[in-house]
Formats: sequence, C-alpha cells, structure tokens
Amino acid sequence: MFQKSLGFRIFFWTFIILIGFFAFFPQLWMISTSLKPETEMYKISFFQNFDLSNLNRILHNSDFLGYLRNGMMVAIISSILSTAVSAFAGYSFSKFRYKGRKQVMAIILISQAFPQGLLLVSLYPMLQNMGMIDKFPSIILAYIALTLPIGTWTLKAYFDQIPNSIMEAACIDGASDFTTMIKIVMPLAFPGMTTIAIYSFVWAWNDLLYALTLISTTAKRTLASGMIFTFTGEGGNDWIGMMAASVIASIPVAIMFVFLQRFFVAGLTAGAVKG
Amino acid sequence: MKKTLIVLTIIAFATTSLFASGEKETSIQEGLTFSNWSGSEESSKEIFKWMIDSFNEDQSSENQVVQINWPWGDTESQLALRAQGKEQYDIAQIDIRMLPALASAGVLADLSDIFGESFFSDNFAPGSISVGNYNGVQYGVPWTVAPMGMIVNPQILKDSGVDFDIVTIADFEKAMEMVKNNHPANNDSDAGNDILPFAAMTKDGGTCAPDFMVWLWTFGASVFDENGNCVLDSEEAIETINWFKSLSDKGYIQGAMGRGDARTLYKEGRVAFYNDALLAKGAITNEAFGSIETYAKPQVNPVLNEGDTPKASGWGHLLVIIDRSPKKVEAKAFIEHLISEDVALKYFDEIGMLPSKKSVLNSNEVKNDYWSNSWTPILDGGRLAETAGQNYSAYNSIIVENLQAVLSGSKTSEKAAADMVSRIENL
Amino acid sequence: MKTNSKNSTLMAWLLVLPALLIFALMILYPFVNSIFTSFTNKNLIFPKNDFVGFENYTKLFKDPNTLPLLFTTIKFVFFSTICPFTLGLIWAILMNEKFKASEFMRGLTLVNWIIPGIAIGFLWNWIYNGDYGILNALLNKMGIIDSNIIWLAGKQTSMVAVVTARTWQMFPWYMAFIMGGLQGVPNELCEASRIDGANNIQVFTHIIIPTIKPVLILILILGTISNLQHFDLINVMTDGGPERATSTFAIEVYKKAFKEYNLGRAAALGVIWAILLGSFSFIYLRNLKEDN
Repeated sequence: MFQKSLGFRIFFWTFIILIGFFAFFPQLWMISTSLKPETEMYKISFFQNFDLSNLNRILHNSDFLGYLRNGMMVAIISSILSTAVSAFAGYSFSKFRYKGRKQVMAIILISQAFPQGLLLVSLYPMLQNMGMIDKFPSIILAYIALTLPIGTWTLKAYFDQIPNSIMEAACIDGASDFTTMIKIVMPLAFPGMTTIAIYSFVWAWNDLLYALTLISTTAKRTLASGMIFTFTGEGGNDWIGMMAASVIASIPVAIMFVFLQRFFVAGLTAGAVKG
Repeated sequence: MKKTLIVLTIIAFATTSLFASGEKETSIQEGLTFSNWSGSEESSKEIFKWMIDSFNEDQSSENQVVQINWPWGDTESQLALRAQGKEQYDIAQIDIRMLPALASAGVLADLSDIFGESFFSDNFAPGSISVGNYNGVQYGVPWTVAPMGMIVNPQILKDSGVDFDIVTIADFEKAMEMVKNNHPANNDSDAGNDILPFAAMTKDGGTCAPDFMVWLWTFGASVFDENGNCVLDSEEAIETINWFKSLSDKGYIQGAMGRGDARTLYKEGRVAFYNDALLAKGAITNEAFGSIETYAKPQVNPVLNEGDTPKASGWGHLLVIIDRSPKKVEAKAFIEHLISEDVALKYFDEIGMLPSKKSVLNSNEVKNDYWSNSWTPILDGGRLAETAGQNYSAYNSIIVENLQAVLSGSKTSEKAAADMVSRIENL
Repeated sequence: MKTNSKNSTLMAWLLVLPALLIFALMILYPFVNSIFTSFTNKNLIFPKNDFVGFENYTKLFKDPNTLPLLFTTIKFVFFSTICPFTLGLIWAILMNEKFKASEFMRGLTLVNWIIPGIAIGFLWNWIYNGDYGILNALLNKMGIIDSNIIWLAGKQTSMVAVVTARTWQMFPWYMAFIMGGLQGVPNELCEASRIDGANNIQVFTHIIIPTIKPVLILILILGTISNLQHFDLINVMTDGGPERATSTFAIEVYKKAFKEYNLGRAAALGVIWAILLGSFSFIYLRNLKEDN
C-alpha cells in the first residue's frame, strides 16, 4: 500500500517504537507485577525474583474461579443472543421496506444516548417485581438491550452489502423467506456477525454497574464485580492480586481472540466500506 | 416520528405492566439472610464463614444463615434497595455512618423491642450503645466500635530527631517539619524513597470530608450548629481551612491521597502520620520492619491547646435487623451468637476486630494485645461524621471539592467556605 | 428488495419483534419512567415519591457545577475519542505492513481491550501514582524531574491521566476497525496513482482516506457514544476529582443516583443529557445517506 521510502521507514520505526512502548509496557508491567513476591510489590523492578505464589493464590481461589466461569458464561450467552437478535432486526431493516421502519431504527439508535446508570434505577424495581433480581437472565437481557443498537446498525450495513439478487435467486428456487435468510444470507454475513458477537462479549465481560446491582449472591458474581469484591474493600486493597487475576482472566479471552481475530478484523468494517 | 413514539411508549408500558404489575406474595422463607461486606473481603472471608457455619450447625434447616455480600462502598444503597423490595432479608452488617440514613429511611427494626431494654445496658458501655442509637431509638447492636486514631511511625520520628510527645497542633507541625527536613530519605537525590510527613486524605468525599471534620472540631469549628445551619464559614472553620492549606503549601500533606494509597505508603515506611481505623492493622503490617510496635503506634489526634479533649472520627460496625423480617427472634439468636465470647474472641484473634461486649472487652486476651491496647485512649473521643444522614455523600462531595480548590490555590479559604455553605444550604 | 406484500411485512415485523421487545422492556420503559421521575423527589433509599414540578431542573440550572460538567464531558469525550483514534489509525497502518510479528502484535494489542476496566484503572493509577508510580520513577531516573509530581492531584494532569488510560484501553479497538477498512482498499488504485507520480502522503490522503471514510466516521460515532457512557476508569482513578476536573455526565448521574440517592435530580440530569445527545443523533440521522 505504501512505498518503502526513507520517509516511510522513519515513520514506521518511530511509531512502532513509540506506540509499541505505550501499548506493551503497561502489559509487561502488569505481568511483572503479578510475578513479584509481595515484599517487592512497590519497588520499581522488572522481572526480577520470579514468584508464582500470586498466580497460584488466585488459581486456588475458588470464588474467583467461579466469577471467571460465570463471567465467561454470561458473556458467551449474551453474545450469542445479542448477535441473533441484532441479526434478525438488522436483516429486517436492510431487506424489507415497510412503514415505521426508519422511525424504529432512529429510536433504537438514539436510545444509546441515555445514561445507562440511570436506566438501572427504573430497571431495578421492575425486575424486582418480576422476581428477576439475582438471576442471570436479568443481566443477560440487559446486555442484549445495551448492545442491540450498535449490533443492529452494524449488521444492517452489512446486509446492505449483500446483493438482493442472491435472495431473489433463492426465492425462484422455491426457498421460503426464512430459509433464504438462515441458509443463504446469514452465512455470507458471518464475519460481520462475529464482529458483533465479540463486541457484545467484551461488553458483558467488562460490565461492572449492571452486574453489581442486579446480582447479589456471591456465587453468581461475574468477573468485574467479583474483582471489586475480592481485591478491594474496607480493610485494604490487594493490587498485586488484582494484577495477577487480570492476567489470568485475560488468557482465555486472548486465546479466543487469536483464533477469531481474522474474522473480527475482516468483519468489523466490510459492511461499512462501500466506497 | 411522533406517531411511532406514541406507539412505542404504549408497547413499552404494555410489556412491562404485564410483568411488573403482578405483586408477588412473599413466600414462606427458608433460612436467614445476613448481608455484609466483610465476608467477601480476603482478610475476613474465612472467619465469616466460620462464624456462620458454627451457628448453622445447631440450627434446623429453616433457620440456616445465608450470606449476601456487597462491596463495602455499595452497602448502604444495596441494603436500602433490598430492604424495600420483597425478597427475604433479615440481618445486616452496617457501618455506623450509614445508620442515620438507613434509620430515617425506616428499614431498620427497633431492637429494644426484640432484645429487651436491659440487654444493651447490661452488655455494653454507654459510648458503644449510643453509636447504635438514632433519635432515641436503638437500631444497632455494637459489633466493633472504635474511633479512628492517628497512627504514628515512631521509627521515622526517631530518625528525624523528634524526641517529644505529640500533644498539640504545634507539636504536630513541628514534628512534620522535622520529618520533612531532617529525615535522611528526604535529603538524598532519590525521590522514590521520600517520606511524606502526614498522609491526610485529599482525594474522595468518603474519606477526606469525615477526616477533615476532626480538624474542624479540633479548632472549635463544626459543619452544622445546633439548629442544623451550616456554619462552615465561621472564623474557626476558616482558620482550619487555612491551617490545612498551610500544611499543603509546606509539603507536609499531598493531593490525590486516598485511604488505600496512604496505607500502601505507610506499609512501605514512607509516611510518618496518618489517620485510620483499628482494622487497618492488616493493611499496614510489613514483616520486613519487625514487630508492629516498632513502626506503628496508634494515638489520639493532637489538640489545639494542651488540656483540650482530643477529637476523633467515630468508626465502627453495627449489626441490625431489617424491620420487615418475619424472623426477628431467630435473627436475634444469630446476633447473640456473633457477639458471644467464643466467636468475638476468635474474630479478635484472627483479624483484630475489637469486641464491644463489656465482658469480652475485659478479657485478658484483649487487654494484653498491643494493638487493641494502644486504642484504649482513643475509644472515648469518637464523634460521628456530622454529614452522616440522607445527604452524606452530597455534603462530603461539596466539602472535598472546595477543600481541593483551596489546596490548589484556585479559591481562597473565605471563598471556599462561603461556597460550601451556599451549596449545602441550596442542595 | 422485498416488495410490500403482506407476508413479507409480517415477516419483517416478526424479525424485529425480539429486538423491539427487549428494547421496550430494558431501555424504553426505564427511559420513559425516568422522564416521569425527573419531576418527582424520588429517592433511592427513602420511600418518598412526590410530584415537584420543575424543581429538579431549576436546581440544576442554578447549580454552578452544571455548565462546567458539560465542558468537562466534552473535553473528556473529545480527547478520549481523538487520541485512541489517531493512535489506532497509525498502528493499523503499521500492522498492515505484514512484517513478521505483525499478526502476533496485533493480537497482543487487542488484549488491552479485554482487561476489565477496573483493573486498567488500578494499573494506570499505579503508573501515575505520585509516590510509588513508575512514571515518576522513570522521569526521576532520566533526570527530568527531581521531586515527585502528583499527577492525579492536578486539574489538567488528572484529565491527562484518565484520557491516557482510556486511550490505552480503546486504541486496539479503533485499530481493528481501521484494519478492516484498509483491507478493503484496492491495491491497484494505489499503484495506479503512484504511476501518476503520487507519493505516500498523496496516496494516503487521496486514495486511502476517501476509501475508508465510512469506517472512520462509524468508529468516531461509536467511540463518541461509548465515551459519553464511560464510567469505570474515571470512577476508579479520580472519582471525578480533583475539584470536579474529571466529573463527566456519566459519573455525575451515577453519583446523584447511587451515592446521593437523589433519583429525581439524577433523572433530570439524564433527561437534559438525552435531549442534548438526542439532537446530536438526530442531526447525524438526517445527514445519513441510506438506501442503495
């Protein structure tokens, strides 16, 4: 894409060093901290005196492993459901023309603007009346709702890319609307759906506010709220434990990313780029 | 656009009223719920589990205690939300600063009905009883009650040449000056080992405002007068603010200091003075410095003139019963278990939480302990943060923001004081 | 394009239905409910709920902190969108060069985005800490400073600290989007313009930027929205301080509702915010060219 001129080389190396340092130094610091013995916690040292006791301690903390498992489960379920719901809605907005379509789209987008913390205030008593406090479905439902607007809009753009002729061809072959969508169009939009799946996954994975308020049993906590519990408190904060826990929690997701990043990068924008 | 909006609103209400209107009957409950924050914190997790398990052993299946854990910072709101809902809820651990708000919200049960009048006077010192009392009603059983003290590092003072006791504000300032100027660590080129004389809270409302109130009281000022009018613009209050500003100008205190940072620095041996509660012991223990006496000595706060009563910020944990709980008798049994000698002494042994019951407090085990013993002179002087109540957080934020403005020089003390008053009154 | 046959309209609505139901239940109802709440003195912990008219709004307009709140929010949202965007753009160009470690580095960068926000907050607090932070230690070693700087105590520096942490967290996300865009840039077009004598900068501004423009606009919008909602880093790092220098709308609404329990006031603030943002979104929607 670019000519490897001298100017480009200078640009390349300057920024690979600068941004590389900015991106990776804190990561290394985090890993190095989690490998420090507790006595050296606040010493400025880098990968000296390896000590696996922190990582070990976290790996044997059954509560934390439970948070990790819950977090993973909630994030995966919300991610799948959110992608499905967004895909249906996006497909409808993209491939059908009907009255009220534009208005519904607009309202869904604008809803992104309202402070999420405040929605919670009305959600809490409502869910309480429904008997859904402290149950996974309530936070999963919330995560779907909060990722839905971006999911719908991105996937709509994605479906816009897929020529209608493909669908018409399928129709002529006798496939129903629904079969066409599931069997023909959705697979073509797979990269785009992966994108939304990852987006929703990270949203649920990272959420603190909703999980903290809507879940009250320790055994049902998810990752971020569980971390607040385990490592901060009235009696003191355990930074080193938090760093070790973050390292451990990041590994499964990082591995997942390595496998999915091709789809992710390709899918993120293929829908939006149409010159 | 307009039409769709109306349609959508109708859909919204239809869907939600479908679910929301069905009032659910409170089902006959199994077990007792005990909400707390300490049970999820690493240092007290085990002992809490033991306390509950040891109670459950002797109970029938319908009276088994189940924990609900909330983070320390969210307890008050979570408690109120749950107490006003329909789920089962019986017993709670609360901080004494939460009592006024929760009591006036009407979610707590009057305990003198449940425990009987003489239970409190028989078992607790008047000072501890009053901590659980709000407007004449006894809402809380004192669990651990001990005002916050001034924790001093004698080693740092010695290395700085401080050879006098710190009694008055003047002594205190002199000592801070000597630490700042004389301590060897402050006189080398390495800024990474500098010692901060006084880690006063300056970061967030929850810690800075209550701590600052101690200095207001020390200088004879207060946040509110007896009629509830805000008097933060009094001469004494402005003097306090000026004093605090002078500490900052001389580099004795520092901005952006929260309790966690102060503890960390103290633990690393880089702070000479800081305010904290009894439970800080675990967070500041550093085996590299030897036994705790050598580097941490809790004492009373300095006073303005010799002979004044030292002031301190009240601190403590209470046990309360939720008013709508149908199992108050069972709840009472659990609370009695928690404060019983066996349990209270084990709680004390393992994480140093001082018992409140007179009989346990007088046991040799408690009396011979260095840490709790050093707390004895501090026990009397505690006063609840004046802002505690419905607007605790809002008042604290106002105080902190303006204090920060004075420290940074963007407001004069007079202007900040006037702003505090006008904002508190117009909340 | 499906025509307006009855069957397909039904199908279209059926497809939107799950989204619409969840949306109505979890966003629209709470939203409408909040509008009502903004006219009451409803409190989170006190059982009161009386109609107070416009009191919440007038109090907010009289509050000297409301206007600065708007500016702080704009400042935070602007910088924490532009900085990671710029870094993400440069990093995407570098990672697109397909050198040996590029794929690995790209994956590693994405890790920033999946570390829970609170942990990132603590990590950066540690870096910026005035007394034991690694930034001061580094500057001290290099001889740039000889006494510690208390970064989080300054009004400007605390904003810088929060924006840096947010940039670190989010730039991989922008990178991923932009990389996706770059893959759609036809190489022949670049070659062709190079034959016409264009240099790298001209290729970039005349070919690449116009091609990936839709992506850039999309991520700027999504980034702006997510920064407007952003809560946890600021909450962990500065609690909105010092002197409210990092208090944004999201932080303030949360504090008013969950710390001060003043639901009425929080709702009023939320409604003001929604009106401001709603008009912003509306303008965007009007300019949105849709339909093929």
